[in-house]
Amino acid sequence: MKQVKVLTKILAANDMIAAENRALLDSHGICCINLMSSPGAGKTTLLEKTAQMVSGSISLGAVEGDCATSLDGERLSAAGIPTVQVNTGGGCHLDAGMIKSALRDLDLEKTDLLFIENVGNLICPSSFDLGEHHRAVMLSVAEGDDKPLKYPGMFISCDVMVLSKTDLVDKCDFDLSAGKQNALRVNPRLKILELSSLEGAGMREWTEFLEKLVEEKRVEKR
Amino acid sequence: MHELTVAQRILEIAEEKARDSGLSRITGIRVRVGSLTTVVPEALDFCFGFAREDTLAGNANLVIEEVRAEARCNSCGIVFPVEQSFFLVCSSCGSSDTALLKGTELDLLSIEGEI
Repeated sequence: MKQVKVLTKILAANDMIAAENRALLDSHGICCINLMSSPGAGKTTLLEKTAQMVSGSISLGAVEGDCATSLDGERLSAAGIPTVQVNTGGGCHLDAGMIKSALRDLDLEKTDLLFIENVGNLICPSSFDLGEHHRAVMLSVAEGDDKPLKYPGMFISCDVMVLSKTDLVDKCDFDLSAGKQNALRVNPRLKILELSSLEGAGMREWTEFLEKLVEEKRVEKR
Repeated sequence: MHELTVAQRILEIAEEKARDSGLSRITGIRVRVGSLTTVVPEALDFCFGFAREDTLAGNANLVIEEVRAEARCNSCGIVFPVEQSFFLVCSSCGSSDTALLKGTELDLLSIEGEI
């Protein structure tokens, strides 16, 4: 019987590819956001509306992760965002290798801001670094203001929270201040943005936030 | 069930190390899992049972060391446990200026086997 000391990160291989992805994005001055949420929180709709609003000022790109179908990828393409669809089969998250492949199919020279729309799931995606610069978790008011407490691992791993579908707040028994407070108890460093993609409230603040991130990345590249 | 992915990565690393060390068979694998990783030890053990088939670790036992999360308060200096609730707010003075010390580990510590 022989014992062998190993002491290595189990996800080291993923993290190494993630670091390569990040370096590649950096070399092109691209800011990358890993957008995560439950299924149906409104990620695709937000990106469609974002594309309309930043058209002419920010060149977007997207990697669209879903278990099956290219429905969301088609929606983003129709909105004018160059998009690579990644289907995970039954997989519950994207990993860095999938992003590495997807980046080969995007014109990085023409991209300022890359959104990775992760598989709808508030648990597993938070464990996998993809090479992003920012992690945004989206929570729709239809899901309940207790979600940050129930799925803290996701909220702790993000630096941005987007509260979506705020136009439904009165119909959903969602206490906006409790929702924000719960998120900040789990992660005091979260930047919180509230918006309604369909009605437009908060969308200006959202796109200004994105413009600031893109500008920071441009300055960094110089 | 990303625990299946994690189990597969564990086995890949373990097999590589076993070959490097001249082991013909892996009998045991020891890992460390922090409480903030969203990896559920029971689920990992369950997935490992499937994933180990047709590997050098076909009958290997997986030992999971669980690490409970702790954070330090930068305001008052105490180290406090970060419970299931994950609140990164100091349990003593209420400050949000805190730093995680432990709880995000996901490490393969050692393997044992036969030459």
